[in-house]
Amino acid sequence: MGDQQDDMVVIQQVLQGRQAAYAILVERYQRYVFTLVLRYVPNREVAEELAQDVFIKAYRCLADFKGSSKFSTWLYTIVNTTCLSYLRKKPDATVLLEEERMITIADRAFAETPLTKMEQQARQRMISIAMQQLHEDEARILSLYYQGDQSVDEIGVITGLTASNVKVKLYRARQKLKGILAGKVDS
Amino acid sequence: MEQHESIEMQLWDYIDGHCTPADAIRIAQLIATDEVWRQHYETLSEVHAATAHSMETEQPSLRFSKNVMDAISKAEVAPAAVRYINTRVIKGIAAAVLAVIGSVLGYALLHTDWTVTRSTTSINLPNMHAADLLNSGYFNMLIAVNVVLGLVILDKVLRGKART
Repeated sequence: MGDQQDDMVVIQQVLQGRQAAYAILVERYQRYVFTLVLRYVPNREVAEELAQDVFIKAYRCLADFKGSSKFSTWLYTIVNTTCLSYLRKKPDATVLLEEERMITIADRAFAETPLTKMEQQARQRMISIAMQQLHEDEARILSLYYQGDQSVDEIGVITGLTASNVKVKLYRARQKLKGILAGKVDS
Repeated sequence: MEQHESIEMQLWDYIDGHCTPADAIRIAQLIATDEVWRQHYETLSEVHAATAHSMETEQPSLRFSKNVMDAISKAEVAPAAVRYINTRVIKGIAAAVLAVIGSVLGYALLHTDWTVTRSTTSINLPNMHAADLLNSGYFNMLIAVNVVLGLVILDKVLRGKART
């Protein structure tokens, strides 16, 4: 993950009219944004459109980013509002769980991987399936914490929850994950 | 059970680096000397490591970056909100609203007749005169208080909506 200073340099370039520099931020954060969007809308096609929307909105509002928080925190706040706004309009979107598809993809990757990487792949698959068994809120908070590299306070800013509330949810999510992993995942 | 929860909460804080230096030393000692703490610590460390290192990020399609850049080629960066929102105007409006609320409340309180009429001591429902109990000053005060409460509720509702 790019550091804050590096992001600020790129942002300044974009604001000075070097639009192409924005591609650096897109490349840097697309995986995190896309993964986080998938935690709200588990449909890859819709998630990709929403993730694109997030980057377009961020570009339009880039002058509002003052650097008081990390760029990633600001970006994930846009992810949160964009996804919640989408879900409000299409409440049935939350039902579109692609668990079987995800397992098929994981199976394929597992089968095609050389033996040296098999253990890591199996672990990733296990975590991926376990994450799908968590409540959406908990999976999002875990994603932000571990993948998005956000602190408890920053997750509070992104989700609109208090830091203590985030801490409790993070604790519960990890306890559940621990339970699921201990049972070796009911797949 | 509660004791286990308490141990695990403290251990998560320790693993995340959220506890105070004094707590960190105390917990480190407990892990080194107490078997229960050690076992919990090992389990949680495994979960932490598995989650931190094995959570995969999803890759969007190869055209993702190009699609975004194509879309923004037609867009422009909007001017910063602070340039067109003058905070002094917002503060002025807030001051005016507070002044109006304060003056209505003050007027109502100043003009309230606090004396209690005799009829309130023995209430005879069929012969009760509402005007004796509720004079205009009393009404004004009630309305002012209700307006303030209404604004507080409206503010809470709007803040709640903005947050969601």
